[in-house]
Amino acid sequence: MSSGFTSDYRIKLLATGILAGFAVVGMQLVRLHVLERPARLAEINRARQEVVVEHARRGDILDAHGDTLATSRTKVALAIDPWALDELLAAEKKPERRERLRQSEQQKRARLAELLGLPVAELEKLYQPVTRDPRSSEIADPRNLVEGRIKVRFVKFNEGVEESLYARLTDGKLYPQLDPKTSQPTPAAGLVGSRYGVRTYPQGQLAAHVVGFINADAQPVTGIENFADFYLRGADGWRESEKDGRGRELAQFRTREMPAADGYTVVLSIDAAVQRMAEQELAQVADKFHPQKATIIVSDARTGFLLALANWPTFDLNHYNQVTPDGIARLNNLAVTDVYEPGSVFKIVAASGALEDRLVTPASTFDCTLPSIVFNGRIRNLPAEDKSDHFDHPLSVAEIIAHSSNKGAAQLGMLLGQQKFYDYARRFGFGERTAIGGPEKTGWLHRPEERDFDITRLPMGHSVDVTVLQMHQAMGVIASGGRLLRPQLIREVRDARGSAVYRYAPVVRGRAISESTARTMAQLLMGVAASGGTAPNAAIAGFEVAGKTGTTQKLIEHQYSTTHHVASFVGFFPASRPEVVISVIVDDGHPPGGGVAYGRLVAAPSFRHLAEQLIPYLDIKPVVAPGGSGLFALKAAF
Amino acid sequence: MTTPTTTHPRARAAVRAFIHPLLLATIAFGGTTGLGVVWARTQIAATASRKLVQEKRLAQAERTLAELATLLTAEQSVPTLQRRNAEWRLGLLPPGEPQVVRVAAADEQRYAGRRTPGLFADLVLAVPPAAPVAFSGRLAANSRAR
Repeated sequence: MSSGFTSDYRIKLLATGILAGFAVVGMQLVRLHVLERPARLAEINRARQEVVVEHARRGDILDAHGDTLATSRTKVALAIDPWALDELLAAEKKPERRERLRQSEQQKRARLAELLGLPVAELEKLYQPVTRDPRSSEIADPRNLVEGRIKVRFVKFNEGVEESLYARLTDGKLYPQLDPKTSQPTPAAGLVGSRYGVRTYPQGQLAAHVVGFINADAQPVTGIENFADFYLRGADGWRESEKDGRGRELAQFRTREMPAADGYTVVLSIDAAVQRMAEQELAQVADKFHPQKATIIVSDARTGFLLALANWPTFDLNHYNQVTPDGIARLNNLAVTDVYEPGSVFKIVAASGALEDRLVTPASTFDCTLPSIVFNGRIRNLPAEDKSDHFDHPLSVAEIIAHSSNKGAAQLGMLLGQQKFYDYARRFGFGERTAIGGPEKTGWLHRPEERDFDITRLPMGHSVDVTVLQMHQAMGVIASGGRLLRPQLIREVRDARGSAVYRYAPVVRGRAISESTARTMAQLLMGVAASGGTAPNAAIAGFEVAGKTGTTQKLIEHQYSTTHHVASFVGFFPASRPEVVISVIVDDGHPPGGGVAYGRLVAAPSFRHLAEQLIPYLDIKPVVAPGGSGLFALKAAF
Repeated sequence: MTTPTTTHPRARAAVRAFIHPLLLATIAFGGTTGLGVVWARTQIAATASRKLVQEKRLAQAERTLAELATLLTAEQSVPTLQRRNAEWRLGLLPPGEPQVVRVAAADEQRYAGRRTPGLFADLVLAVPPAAPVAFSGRLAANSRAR
């Protein structure tokens, strides 16, 4: 080893230098990490740290067969940064290259306009640099200031394009390039996209009142969107990370992370095809009778699950904001938010109660010509019959139902007594919400001790307010063999992977009447759709149709109107083994030839038409053998 | 007066011979470790960046998938199908009860009668004819009797 290399002086110098270097580094470390730590950390946190929110995807709403009724996706709002072009050109020092760059960008803008389907001149206008006054207490970046004014860097010109189009707009390969061989292809300078989530309803207005919608603030407003929001919304995630000077995330500095939990998918009991049939039927009713409003409900008689719930007028879920202020009521689910006097359909309560308590048999007769009757020691006037009804003989209970006798129903109610009648009405679900979810009216059922409880009018469905769904539920009692089934809309809740999280089962709220009484009532209701009943036009050959018509005068300015009626037909079939319950309610319809809008004229044909469509779709088999009698021998029994 | 010497020249040489390689080794180790740390951090940053890119691609794919799923659903929706039915004049109609043949007998009896009519001649049922499907529009030719 040479003596020069092993010089003691040099070694010491080198060692001193290294040690001094370490000492300086150490001192700096102490200064940065101990003395100035809080200030530095605050600065770093402000400048570099960021919390990135990962938005959860809102769950879908599906129909019973998996067809999508509501789903979520993203769109991109487009804007132009008018200063980006100037800054790009200013960064290029060579004049001739700058001019070429300017021409290239001009060609790119022309291509951008072509991709967007915009006139070039309109797009060029957006590239005019603009400034604005700073807001009070606004601290502007000095690089973003021009003569004391702030550069406007986001001029929005498109509310939202599809992801696929945005991907094309930002694909540099689709634009003419300045130096295609030497530089990366870039899109037109200044194009800015801002992504946002949108709720889409692919079926448009189908089941609009059931599905509901999300407003512009992403808040659920109505329907299942609102009721099942807890399941649908999911939980946003987040991650702590750092960003560089351009605001780009530095993934290597991620610290803590909580992934987003996507919302659950809600599967409804609604069948899109049945719903479509119901809505088409309502459209035809609207065309023919020009009603104020109308509702059709279809449900599974055995479980209470709804297959369709349609209201008219309706709206398109994708354009809910186009509903005019005076038509805002059409956003309501009329089946549960509006009440009406049910009229004769309500007679099923008095008849069922009297049969259940064995006060009458289907063959028991009543004089339905009496003007008044003594009840609880007082003479009570009986309601008038319809003008067309003149009964020349005492009517059996079967005939009271089939002919819809008001006097007969009143006598059945009186036979039952006020308290008993009230109890049966409650057992049929009147006077309380169906708990289907969302805003819902209770209706109005007077208590026996109240002065307005009128035993001569209540059994015929007057002096009582019900929702369409309550009336449907009550008819479902007879169809289900006496059980009060809760109407339900949600079948299943699934997680983001499609596994069932919760399955809804039929809910029996109680037993209103015995199974045998329900079967007897079903037989009596078949008489309504039979020859001599109030709605023979509801009958379907080979299928036992049971139902009840209702025609109620509307209360207008505290008086019953003779020109405005609510017509209804609520029924089920096949009567001996019911499969579907259908309600058709038409409010203030006007028959083409004039006259009263009776339930048999306005609602019963729709019931039949809808039922005929449901038979092949739901594979409902006839119970009446060709050329033979049904399982219920109506005429033989009564 | 003599300056006391505490170290023999040979001993000092021996110390130098030990310290010099140690210094060199320390510098080499420190340098290598430093380079290694830098390399590792660069790799971590590169991997994180690649992961970020993959995450963005995945998110983009999911967004595109959602858009396509929405488009597909809209195309398969009843209003669209009905519009296509009208636009393309297909004349398609939902089946009605007259087109359905209801067979009351048990399937096994019906098949037995059909397969071995000699033995089960009484089980061969006369199946009522179904109403022919009537198409409208340009498919009307398909419903001609053959």
